[in-house]
Amino acid sequence: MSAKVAVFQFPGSNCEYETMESLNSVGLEADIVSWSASESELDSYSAYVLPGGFSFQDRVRAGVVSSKLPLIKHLIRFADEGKPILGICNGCQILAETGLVPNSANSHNIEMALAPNMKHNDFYGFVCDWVYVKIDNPKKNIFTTAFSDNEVIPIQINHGEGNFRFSNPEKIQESTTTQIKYCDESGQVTDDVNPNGAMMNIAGLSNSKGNVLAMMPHPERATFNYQVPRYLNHEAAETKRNAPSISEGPWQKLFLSLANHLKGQH
Amino acid sequence: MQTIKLYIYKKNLDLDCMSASEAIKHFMHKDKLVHLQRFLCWHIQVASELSKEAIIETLTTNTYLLLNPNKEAYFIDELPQKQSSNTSVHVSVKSTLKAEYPELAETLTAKCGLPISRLEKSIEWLCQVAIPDAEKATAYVEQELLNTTSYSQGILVNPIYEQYSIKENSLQHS
Repeated sequence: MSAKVAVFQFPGSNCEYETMESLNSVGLEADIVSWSASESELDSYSAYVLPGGFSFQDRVRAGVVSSKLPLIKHLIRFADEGKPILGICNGCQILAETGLVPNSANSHNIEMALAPNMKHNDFYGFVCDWVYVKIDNPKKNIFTTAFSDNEVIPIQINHGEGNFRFSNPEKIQESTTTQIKYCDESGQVTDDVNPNGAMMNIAGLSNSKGNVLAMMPHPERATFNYQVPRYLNHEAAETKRNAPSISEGPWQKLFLSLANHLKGQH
Repeated sequence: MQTIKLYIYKKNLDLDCMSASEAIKHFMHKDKLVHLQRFLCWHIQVASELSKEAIIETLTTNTYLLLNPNKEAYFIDELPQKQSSNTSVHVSVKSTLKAEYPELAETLTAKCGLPISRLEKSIEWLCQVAIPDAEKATAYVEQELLNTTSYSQGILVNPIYEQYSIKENSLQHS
């Protein structure tokens, strides 16, 4: 049986179809799966993606209502079984509220939050922009194995609550798990390029086992080269300027990493 | 100098409150919660001889910065007491990242001519629970709805960037 990926559709999700297309682009079969799907239906998938959007209109706070759904109990089991789970933007916020990431003590207790965006100690509102990130320890998470250390990668962010906060920041700082960090074009991680006040410039991070990744930026919006703006100072933009027909974008590697992992299993 | 608490509520449906209530009852199965209300509270410190009602009238008719009168209404200083056989627990939630709004206070001072020296914001939840004993009701709300430790425990307070207090004098039951 070939591996299939479930892309969840919560009330208010709005990136599920692009995410499915990104998965298809690396040869992975994917279905849009309802938030109310049965346990047996969910069991039939090999990996799970919680896409971006505004599930339940971000009511109370982003991701928290979805994090109380019966579905989460099953996701926690899948995570414990080692199945890959990716949370993008709103999916990242949901994973934070479930305690699946960073889950450093394997207790599923909540250790991090996505607070409202801040700059200079003031709320900063919604941010929609292209930024650069780099990935620390990419080989330690299923979704980032195709990336290399110190690679500077452009990606889009689109959120009002993407400010990573941790109950124990020192533990995160010392952690050697995969972390995605905002940086400048040359790969320097500085306050100036931090778009939302996130601690340690963190844009995404892995759980301790390496099978769950929660990230605020949108990889499905940089899977194909035609999605990357021409003005960016990056080889993807340059390739687009020179040969716009080339379709492989800078973040297709994320989906490729998953495909390689699943291929190895089946 | 006087301090005014302006409790703002939605005139029609409060969707945040409705979703919180649905999640608590139907997803988390905390069935002791009977009713939930949500208010946005501005704590206003102002140097004025005017009555509290006159101050709020000035602030809310000269600007829409504190509330939208088309959709929202308010109580001043106290929430109305409802006759009920349930215990009501009043919880105040503040962000630890930013609770004070000095820039907004400056804008309001400039637009309304009232010298506001301090402006703070909190979210107030009124949780009616079907537990007659006030202490037990408070313990239930704290344990099940406020102490957000995992996906199955707590919802109204984010444990990382929010803090809460329970208003002792808010406990009521008939």
